[in-house]
Amino acid sequence: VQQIQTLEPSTWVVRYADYLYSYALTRVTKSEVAEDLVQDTFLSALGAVDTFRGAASEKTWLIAILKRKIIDYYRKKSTSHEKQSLDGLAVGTEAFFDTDDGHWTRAGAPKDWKKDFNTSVERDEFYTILSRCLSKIPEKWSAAFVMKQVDGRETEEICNELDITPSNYWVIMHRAKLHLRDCMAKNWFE
Amino acid sequence: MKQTLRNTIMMSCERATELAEQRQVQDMTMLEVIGYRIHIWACGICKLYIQQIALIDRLAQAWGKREQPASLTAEQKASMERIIADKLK
Repeated sequence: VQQIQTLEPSTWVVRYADYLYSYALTRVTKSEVAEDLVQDTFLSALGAVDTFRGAASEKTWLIAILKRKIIDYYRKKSTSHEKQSLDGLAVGTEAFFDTDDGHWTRAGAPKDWKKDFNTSVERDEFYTILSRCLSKIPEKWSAAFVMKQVDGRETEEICNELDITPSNYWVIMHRAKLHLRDCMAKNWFE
Repeated sequence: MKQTLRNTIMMSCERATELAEQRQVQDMTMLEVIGYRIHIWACGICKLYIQQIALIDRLAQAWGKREQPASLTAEQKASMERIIADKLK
């Protein structure tokens, strides 16, 4: 017998707010944005109670709404920062590669990393710095990276969501990883 | 053709690191496959780069799977509860 789930909005905050907030915070990195997204999720959910079919759990349904909100946030960001990311793409690599021969520059070349991960505290620190590094690159780049690596989504889906071609996608991933690796090296590993 | 072959075999570090991403999305030509393999085999810096971004990718994947300890403050939650209660009236 399938259990029919019903919605209990008055318990949402107690039961799901921290879960949704944590999920959002990993993906948008700014705490005030994560908080707004959680609140928007609850409001949208209240307006859409008719669409809840009872087949999914309340939690699954809410997280699906939050995911949609996060993508809308990325999209809005990538539109408002379009110029910035295009400029970034055009000039993004000269800090790393010689403009004549394409070899690593002295300052941009990777060096051996000293650090290893031994404790969970070190992991937490690593993720704090990774979020900070993600917030320093154009939003579209961090959106692509997070959707691919953190959420494990298919490339085709990411291209659709961010409205980019597969060629844009690999160029973005290349630039994003060059900058992320460099930022992690300077702030964590070296 | 000779020029293309030379550029392929003597691939730049910039091109090799681009191919590290491109090859995950699009098929490489035979020349690109050869050039890429030779480059990564011969170039210690690019080899190091590939290892380091693989580590970052792997840790980012683990990040998505683990429970995050973040929580909202009591005031933030109280404010959300008030908003929901208002809507439910």
